Amino acid sequence: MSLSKQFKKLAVSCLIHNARVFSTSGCRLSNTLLHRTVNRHRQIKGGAADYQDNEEDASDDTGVRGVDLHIQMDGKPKPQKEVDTFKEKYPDFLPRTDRACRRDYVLEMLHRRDMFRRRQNLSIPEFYVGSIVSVTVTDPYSPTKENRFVGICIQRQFSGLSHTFTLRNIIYGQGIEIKYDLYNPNILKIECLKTEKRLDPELLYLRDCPPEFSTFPLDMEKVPAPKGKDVPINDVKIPLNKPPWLERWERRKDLKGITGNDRRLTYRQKKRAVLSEKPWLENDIMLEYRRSLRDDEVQHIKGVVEKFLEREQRRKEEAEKEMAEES
Amino acid sequence: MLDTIPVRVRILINHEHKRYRKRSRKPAPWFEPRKTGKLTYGVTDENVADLKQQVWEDSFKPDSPIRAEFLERKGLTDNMIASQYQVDKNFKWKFNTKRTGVIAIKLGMIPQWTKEGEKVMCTVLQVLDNHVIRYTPPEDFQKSQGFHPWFSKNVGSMVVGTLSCSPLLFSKRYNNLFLEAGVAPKRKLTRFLVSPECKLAPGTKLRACHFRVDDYVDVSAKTIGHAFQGVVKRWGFKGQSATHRGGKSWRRAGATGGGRSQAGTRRGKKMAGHMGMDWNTQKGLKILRMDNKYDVIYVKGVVPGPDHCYVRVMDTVLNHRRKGLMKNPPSCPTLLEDSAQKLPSEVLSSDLFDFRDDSISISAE
Repeated sequence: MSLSKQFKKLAVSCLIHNARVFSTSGCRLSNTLLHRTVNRHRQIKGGAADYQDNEEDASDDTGVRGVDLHIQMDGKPKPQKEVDTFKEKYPDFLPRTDRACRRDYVLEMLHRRDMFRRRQNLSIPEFYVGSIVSVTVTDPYSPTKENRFVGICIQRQFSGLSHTFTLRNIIYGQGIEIKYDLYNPNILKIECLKTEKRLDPELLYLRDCPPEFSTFPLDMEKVPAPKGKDVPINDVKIPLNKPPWLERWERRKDLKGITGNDRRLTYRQKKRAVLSEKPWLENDIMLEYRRSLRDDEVQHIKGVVEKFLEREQRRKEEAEKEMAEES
Repeated sequence: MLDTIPVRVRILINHEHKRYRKRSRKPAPWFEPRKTGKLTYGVTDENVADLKQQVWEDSFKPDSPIRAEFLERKGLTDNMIASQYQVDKNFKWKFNTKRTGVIAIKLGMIPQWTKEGEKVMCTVLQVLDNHVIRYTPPEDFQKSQGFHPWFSKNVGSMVVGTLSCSPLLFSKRYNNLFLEAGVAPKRKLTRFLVSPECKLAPGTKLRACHFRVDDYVDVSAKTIGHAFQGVVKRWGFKGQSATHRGGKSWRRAGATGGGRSQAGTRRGKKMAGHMGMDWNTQKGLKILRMDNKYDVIYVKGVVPGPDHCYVRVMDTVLNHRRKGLMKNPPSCPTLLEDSAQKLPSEVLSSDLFDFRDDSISISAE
């Protein structure tokens, strides 16, 4: 081999080595496997089982053999809007996006299996951040052994079985926030009293807003959602209290649901605010790519969820028929 | 009738960190280098893919001419090998009986709930494609290079491997390690110390059903590497104050000495250095749930290492749990194929909430 070729080969191998070394936070490679290596070994005929989402209907084609494989798509292009509405309606089924190297499709399938089983026994309504939700939970220390809380949903976090949502209300002048695990078996009932969205994905600023915007009556009746239309967006703009605040809302220009998030800063505060700015983040395409989900993955999950919902509906109809026949 | 359980009196628990070197750069004497150069000289580019595919398929076939040659040379047959590893019918589980372990892959964590409503974080481990590669009886093991004098004398070595690969990836010397077992070459090998009653024939498949639900298990893995770290992160030192007491030190160790008479710092003084990438064992982890279809174990608690790392799973060493094992011994050496196939696809612990049940409710009295 000529010198230049040898040099190129060395340079390429160095690049690859460095890429491998620095890709997953430095020095944790000797005892770990890449996700795609694990997937490849799962697909081997001799060793692995079929990893299917719906184990009961083994004849379904929705079984995915690996996230890296090409999933067979229909000829018709699916509209983007369906995928987006699915992402907003079922955020617990979406896999984690903070660190792609910590994802594992078999683990996600195991999460989903337990989630479907729970959903067969508890009907979880459609609710968003900004909706008013009531939750009834078993409480061994209360006389009725139950505890009901009503509040506005201000946050929805995490994926899979660990999905949580926070409800906020003000009771006897005290602001109270309760974080519930969506799939906690202690939850007896979840009702969405008012289905609506707000302008922001998280409403943590309600802690620094006047109390009337966080108070909701505990005996509130259900407001029927308008049928056949999109989820209504409540575009109310809430004024913030006077500073000091719990968070630096003056730095959050992306929040559209608040007014008055300007405040007079001292010279030192202004200087520090400029230092903490990260204007390059809006142009960081790779960061956006790393934190996004592939459309074909979301469509696969959507297909699985829709199949489950269809089966559930069929079961309910059959049960109703049986009840009608018996009576 | 009962075996005597040795009485161990515990007076003091030594929490001191180990003062000897944990890692060494020298490879062990039994280490077999795996890498190979290019093996497809003289093969055209179009045929390389076909060749690789053929080699891959052939590596799974039990009859291989190379293996036949190897067995002839040693004067062995498959029947002879199987007869050496027959299960002893009069076998009795003793306190110190050691079974093989298993190599699993750490997938991640999942929350589960108990029937009382308490949340329990479980680690999910997957046992993929494990086979026994070799067993050396205690007499031969003591003469081998892998033996250390602090091992007990009644213990043999069992080499277990995971994740079959094409033999083209490895050197000839490495591939020859798998001839006795008749198994495709494996990506990862470990050695378990095993009592002679629990020996297994090379080529036996190990699955997650080697363990049972409600058993206790030791899980060891290489911890997450943090590279060179300072004393605050590595040992949890408090550091110094940010504002008061000048001196330009905020995260330094401070004083290190034992005085003039000690003539310097003690060996093993906690200082900055390499943190992580150590083999650590978490003992006494309970198995809460098992999935026999996907060979997945849900283990209560946290396991060292990052996601997708190799993990060694063995029966516990803890005395209290061993006493429990005496009353309810596991299947030794391992669960037979026939009984393994009859197992239900999912087994849950009796404490665990099954999501197929209704929500947890307490009736008002």
